[in-house]
Amino acid sequence: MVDALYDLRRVAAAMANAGLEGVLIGNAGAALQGAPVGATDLDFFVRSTRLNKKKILAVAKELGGFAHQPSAPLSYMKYRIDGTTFPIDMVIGAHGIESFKGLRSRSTVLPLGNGRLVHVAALGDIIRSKRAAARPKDLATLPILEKTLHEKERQEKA
Amino acid sequence: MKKNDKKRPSRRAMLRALRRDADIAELAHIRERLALPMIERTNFMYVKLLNGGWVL
Repeated sequence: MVDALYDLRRVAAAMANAGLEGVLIGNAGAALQGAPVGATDLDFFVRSTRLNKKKILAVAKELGGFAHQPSAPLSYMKYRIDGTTFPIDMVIGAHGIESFKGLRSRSTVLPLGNGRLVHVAALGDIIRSKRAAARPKDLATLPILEKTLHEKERQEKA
Repeated sequence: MKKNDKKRPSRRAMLRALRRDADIAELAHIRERLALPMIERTNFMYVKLLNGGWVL
């Protein structure tokens, strides 16, 4: 597995420079929350505003990539930044996530060094979103995410 | 040979044992990840290469 710390820092810096607020969701978020899973992209949940669209373009430019809306069925729910080390999805609508504010209030702030930080969604929120999306790849990872959450809660109680 | 002398476990028992071992290994893996500070859990990316391969 490749260490994403360097690229996470770069993405966090580009988002901070553009003033774009986001919360890391998906398997990358789950992995940071302790689940033994891998990811092929970074998914950030961002507010759906016209200004944020401009900020996403600025982030893509700073990272040397380009932003586009993929033609997949869920294209209206995300912007994808390609041309970077790995794809970055800026998600503006996701199943099971009701509000950016609520998601961020339950997230964990992870300092990445050099004054950069990333908000990582709570494992419970990631599980809710995957359960609601119910695509085969989401359902495949659900059992391991649920086991991790169960173990995490057990350790917190002990 | 008496029935009790049978040493080979049944197929069902072997499958059950395999599943139990897999569950134990999975839980150990989860505990190992949870024991790490969050900043040390960043080695989670698969990277797709331009030639279509993957860096794991």
